[in-house]
Amino acid sequence: MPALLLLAATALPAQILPDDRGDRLVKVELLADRAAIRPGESFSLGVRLRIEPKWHIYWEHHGDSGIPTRAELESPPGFEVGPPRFPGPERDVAEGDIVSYIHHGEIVLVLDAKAPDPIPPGLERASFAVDASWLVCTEACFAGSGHAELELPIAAAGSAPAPANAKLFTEARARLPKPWAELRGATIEWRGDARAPIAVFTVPGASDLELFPLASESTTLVGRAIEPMKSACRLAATLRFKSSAPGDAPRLEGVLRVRQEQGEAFYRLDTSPNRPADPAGSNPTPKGS
Amino acid sequence: MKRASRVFAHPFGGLWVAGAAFALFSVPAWALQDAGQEKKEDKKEEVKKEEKAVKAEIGKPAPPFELKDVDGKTVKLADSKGKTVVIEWFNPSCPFCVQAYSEGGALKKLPEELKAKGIVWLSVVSEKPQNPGGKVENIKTFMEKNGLAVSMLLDPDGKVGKTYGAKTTPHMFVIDAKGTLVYQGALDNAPFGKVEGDGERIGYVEAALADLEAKRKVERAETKSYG
Repeated sequence: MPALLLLAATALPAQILPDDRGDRLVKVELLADRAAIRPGESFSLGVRLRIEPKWHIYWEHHGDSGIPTRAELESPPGFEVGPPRFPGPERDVAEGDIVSYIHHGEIVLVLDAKAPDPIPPGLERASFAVDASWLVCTEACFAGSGHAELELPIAAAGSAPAPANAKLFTEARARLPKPWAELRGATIEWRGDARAPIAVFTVPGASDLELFPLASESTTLVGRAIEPMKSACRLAATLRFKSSAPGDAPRLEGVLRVRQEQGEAFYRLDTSPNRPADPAGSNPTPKGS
Repeated sequence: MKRASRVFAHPFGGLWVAGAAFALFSVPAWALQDAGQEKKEDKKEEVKKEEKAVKAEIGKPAPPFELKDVDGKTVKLADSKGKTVVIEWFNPSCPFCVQAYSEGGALKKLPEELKAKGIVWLSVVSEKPQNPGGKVENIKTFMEKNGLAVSMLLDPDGKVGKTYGAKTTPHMFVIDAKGTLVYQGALDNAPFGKVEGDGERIGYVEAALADLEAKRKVERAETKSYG
């Protein structure tokens, strides 16, 4: 941690920390991958969060401490907008081995959207707005929120597509977790017993793995061991499972970070002992907003 | 990412957490042995492993402790034998605690109301004394400003925090009159007083205490704490 920030922070008694500090430490912007929207067109919205250097916010599951970052979108009638998709997070281990899942720098939450066809009569411009909230931390933490708006003209049906922010969206999509099926040769094996199951992930060609579980009331991550080998890497996730109904089975949802020669990528997983080899990995389905 | 050099996770921020709720040890060796197609001799690096080791368990006797309060008085958990006890992990710099103790916040009146019912309320600060959140002066200022009249215990080395697996501030624990840990987790479902979606606030501590009062098993014995 930078000494300057620590000094700055320690100089302020907690009681007088300004309330809007959390708002100012993260900048929110709403963007689209189109300059104009045609009837029936699928497009993407992006919530860009720019975090002050040295500070972090939290992933959609915060881990041991923190609270999840949220983004709620308002869209015009008839437009379908899916949930925000988060890029793969970083793992932060604080003193006391408190494990949190965080984001530094700049992230873009991607939302898949679809325009109605036909566009409702009289709608010449589509207005979108996002309300985002977060907890932003370094040594200190502040709750923050921000609002951003975006207005896009409606283009005529049959007009030429009007792409925008292509580089930003290409990079943002590359950071999103991919479907599990794209992780070739990877296996998941369930071991242990019902209360203390262990999920073992083996990924050929990987040099390192990391697991980022989503929040679950029944299945929680207790610990994990990573074993890099010559031609693969293994990760054993020790879990705790609390059954709430007869026939319940552990279920581990989350993201696996895979480091390979060609770089790092994240893969969505949703696995249980009943279907270890068939973890779901499809994109979230856009739903009405 | 690079490990942060901070002493305690978030000394000011609320995301404190002095306690090692984890210890670096033992995912069972068999979890990895023979788990895949690789042979053991292929292994080229030490296994990175960690597993939580917390002594406080729901349904088991609450681990005993003895701490000094902000006035230097020794307080033992055993002093409350035969009484229901609520333990709150607290940090005067934590934004969640600040909100909870502010006017209209979930903790503004709760400790007093529970004390009136004969329930013991212990607040614990697991923070190094050199950090603002662990400074007695700051803690006392907070207590005076917010009219907080509770046993405010100091856990400067985080030992009790580690034992209980306290990870956030607030992180709540309820111990029944027999000394059994019956609840651990969040104060409620409303960080900063806001419930996500359209739901109503559920005070998990109050719910656990209501179950105890009605001589029922605590229905929601564990939740995920926030902070």
